[in-house]
Amino acid sequence: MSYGIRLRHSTLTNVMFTVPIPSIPFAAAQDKCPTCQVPHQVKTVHLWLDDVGSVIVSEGVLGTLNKAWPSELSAVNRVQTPPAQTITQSRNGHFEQKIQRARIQAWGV
Amino acid sequence: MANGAFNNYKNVLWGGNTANFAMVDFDLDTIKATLVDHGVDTPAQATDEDIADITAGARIATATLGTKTIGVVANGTIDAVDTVFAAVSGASVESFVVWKDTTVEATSPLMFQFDTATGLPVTPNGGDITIQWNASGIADI
Repeated sequence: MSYGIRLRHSTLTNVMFTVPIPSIPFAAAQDKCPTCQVPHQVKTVHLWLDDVGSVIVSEGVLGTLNKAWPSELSAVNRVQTPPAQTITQSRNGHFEQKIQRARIQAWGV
Repeated sequence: MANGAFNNYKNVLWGGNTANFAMVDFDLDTIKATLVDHGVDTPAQATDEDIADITAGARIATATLGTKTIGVVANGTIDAVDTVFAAVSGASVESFVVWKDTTVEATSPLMFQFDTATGLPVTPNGGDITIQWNASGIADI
């Protein structure tokens, strides 16, 4: 049974707050971040602040933030049952497009 | 990298590199998805071949794909029910990979990597994280 830690930003609400971690540079070049639309050079924690400036993070994320803790953030409390999260798979730029292209080329079309 | 298949898997798919990897029987083999922290290791579709090529510390959570199908959503298409990672407590995640688990990491081929999806990068909150596979299936040829 895991738990989350609720953080609160001192001024911002309803916005994504990013925290770059300079001590964790990416070893390999990154594509554009699908959220920020820019390639990050270092590990960057994305915090979606709600309407009161709160966000719940895992222990692991808290550990990352501790490497570059922003002064505007404070830990509020422990959350025993954090809400579920979803990643929705995208099919653009996908494997099958390359295969289909190869097939068309093989057919001489 | 964009979403795509690992180069080694493209060869395995056609029966190549059999000295190191058996072909993947998608609906019968154990297929897993793993959330990856690029701050520790960024998967390289061009050169990474098996799950051992992704540093263990970068693997934030792993779950097994259930109710897998071939050719049901559409001809040549693989699919599965949505995959749930229970109570994820690790660092933030920039991509996820799909791979076949042979129980030996060095012979467990990496199949696909997805670094572009709604919800990525994901910042775990200690709760469950679900990958909602595309309605058109995970991949097709």
